[in-house]
Amino acid sequence: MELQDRQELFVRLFARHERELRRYALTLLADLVAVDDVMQETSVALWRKFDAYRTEQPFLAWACKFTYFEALKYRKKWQSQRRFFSPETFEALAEDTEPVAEQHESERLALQDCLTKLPEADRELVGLRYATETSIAELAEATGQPAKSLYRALERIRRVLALCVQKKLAFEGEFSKGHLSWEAGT
Amino acid sequence: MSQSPDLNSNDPNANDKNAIGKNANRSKKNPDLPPELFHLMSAWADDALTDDEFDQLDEILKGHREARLAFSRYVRICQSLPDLVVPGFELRDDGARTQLVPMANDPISSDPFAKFPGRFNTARSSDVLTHQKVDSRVTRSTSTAWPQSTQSRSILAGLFVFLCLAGGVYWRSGNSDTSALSSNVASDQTSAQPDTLSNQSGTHHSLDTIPNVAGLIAGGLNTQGGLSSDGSAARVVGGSARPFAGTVKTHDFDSHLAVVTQSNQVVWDSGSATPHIGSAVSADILRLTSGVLELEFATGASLRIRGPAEFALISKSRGKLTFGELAAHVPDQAHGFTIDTPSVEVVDLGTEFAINVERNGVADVHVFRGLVETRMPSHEDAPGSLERLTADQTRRFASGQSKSQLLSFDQSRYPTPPQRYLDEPTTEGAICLLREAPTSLQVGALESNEFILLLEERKNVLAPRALPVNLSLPGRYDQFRGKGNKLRQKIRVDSYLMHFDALTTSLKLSHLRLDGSVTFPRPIVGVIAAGPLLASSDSVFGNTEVLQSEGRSRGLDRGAKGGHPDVVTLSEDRRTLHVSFSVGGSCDQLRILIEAEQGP
Repeated sequence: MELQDRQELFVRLFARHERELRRYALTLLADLVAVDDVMQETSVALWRKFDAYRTEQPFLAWACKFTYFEALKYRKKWQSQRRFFSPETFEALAEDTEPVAEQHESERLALQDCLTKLPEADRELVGLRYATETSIAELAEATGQPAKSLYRALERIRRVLALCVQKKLAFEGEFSKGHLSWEAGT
Repeated sequence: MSQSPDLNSNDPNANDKNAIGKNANRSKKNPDLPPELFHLMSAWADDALTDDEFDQLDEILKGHREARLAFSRYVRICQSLPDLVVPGFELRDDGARTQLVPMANDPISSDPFAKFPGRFNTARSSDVLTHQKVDSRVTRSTSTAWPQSTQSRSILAGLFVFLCLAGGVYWRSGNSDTSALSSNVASDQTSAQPDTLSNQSGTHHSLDTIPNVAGLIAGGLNTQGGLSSDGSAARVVGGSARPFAGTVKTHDFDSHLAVVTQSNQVVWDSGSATPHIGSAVSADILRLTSGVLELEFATGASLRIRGPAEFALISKSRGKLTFGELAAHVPDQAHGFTIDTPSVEVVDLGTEFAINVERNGVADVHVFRGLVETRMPSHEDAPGSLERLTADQTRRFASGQSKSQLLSFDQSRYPTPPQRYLDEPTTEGAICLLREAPTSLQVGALESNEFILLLEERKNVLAPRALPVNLSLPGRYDQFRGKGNKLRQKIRVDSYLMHFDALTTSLKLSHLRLDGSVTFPRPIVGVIAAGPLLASSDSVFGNTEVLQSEGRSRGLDRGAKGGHPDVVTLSEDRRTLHVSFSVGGSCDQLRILIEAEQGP
């Protein structure tokens, strides 16, 4: 394949899976700033090694190893300045939470459904917090509510959402993935 | 916080981890998670986790596999939320204090990002406006804005710069410092991007997808190459060239670029997407072993591809033919439609043209009508060049050569461009006319959020007097429940079916509308929009070889979708039907009966 084809293929694959890789890195490092750096390095490393990538193999699984390795490097580099999970936790997370293709999409659809089930007031709060990425402090000032009760409300809502998504996916697991069948069918 | 640099490979959890299958969490009942886990995760999500709490979280994650899975899911959910929620209120600063106000209906003042020029680049608001002004296919109702991940965007911007460098000088010279260099430039590029973005409001590709970035980058590479050696290429960059940025929609990975309108004995090669008639296609690669496939792009350009061929859809106005034969018909509104080949980039300037690419990358371009511009990127041993081909010209382009060669036209080496026939309806906006009937129109068979399908069903059928229809008089309709009208007289009609099946029902998308209009050569006699009427008229007007869902899931009569009704407008001359469908619903169908052509 010519260089330009490879580039196109790479950008396409990376764009498709970048979010999953980012979430994986965030799970391992629990630090958004770190994740930006790690993803930057991951993209460079992936492109450098892209010659070794064969189109038959799943890109996500291949790329995960790089994300893992870059996260590991980042830990070593910053270990004295930033807080990280213990090595045992890091390794266990790396193994257990490796993203699976399609998982993200089914999870997103489940979350979408779960959001519609929230009471109006809760949905508004989530909208405020996330649609504009407003911090709790800003929200507290704007709404006149104490930050503490906002923290508590968001904790409750996110917990409801997390459990709802989990339940939905478990249910789906039993009845094969209905809404993904279209992709398989085309 | 333990900071040992050696990671302990004798992790005690390793064994039981492997024993449990990777997806075991899906089918298992929710196990007993430590009660404080959700509190700790929540504090983490709100950036309020103390060091002690962090260690506590670490301990829990270390000891429980289920907790690790829950944490991972929690992280993913928190990261997904910005893409899924719509702000109903905004923060407004009146000078004295910040306060919360319901968002107004004015899209400009209600832009929730306008308040935060520092944190949210202004491109978001211009994105929204761009949709409303320019993109006639999808208009956004007011008071919504799709948040985008600025992080993803910055990585892609970085990639863009990185690949430009990699494809240019630095890669070839094997400079080991490339990464450091690229990340520096990348950060510059990122900060510069909002301006670039807001300047792009003139482009009509605002709903292009991320894979489009691949095309933009590829285009960027070519033009950059041309720039370095050929002064005239500056015009390419400043003039008609596609913008590098401004069309990035990070959430829209799967948005569709084109629809298969015809498919003749296509045999797919392994590894290809395998769309059939009526399928909407995303950025993907099509590999035909044989047969002919016709695609209509969202911009209106239609292509006929003849196998063996490999064709990649890159954006709504760009594709790449790696090898094989292709012919294009590009209507006025789609000018600038571009086909990349290994040796030359062919930009349409209003025309019909065909390309034949050999497996060695040599591309022969023939123009049937109008004008195309060909752009050869520069190489080490040849400068780039720009040429214009006019009607009836045929030229051969090979990589590494600075000039094209004249060629005689051999008709058998090119497919004929897709044609529009006089008797066919003309479509605008999101409506796409299929040239052949699909096998199924059942709910879920041909889903798309970008395209409304239209197909001819039967010709010259006798419609009985008093046939019930939902509308037959000019006007605007958003209710289709009533008894409607009856045809006053027996009349011979041609029947058409309009079909729209949204991909998902979603909060976000219910604010989007899909618009289109269709103009028929003869007046519309009646429109059937209610599910039961559709079903009962199938036997007379329908194509009986097409599978249909039950009547109750087909029509427009299933009630307003959360205040976003479907709207149908019949023009005064009864030849044009305009539809505006809410994307948040599910399957919508209309049967349109037009006067049949009078026999001699």
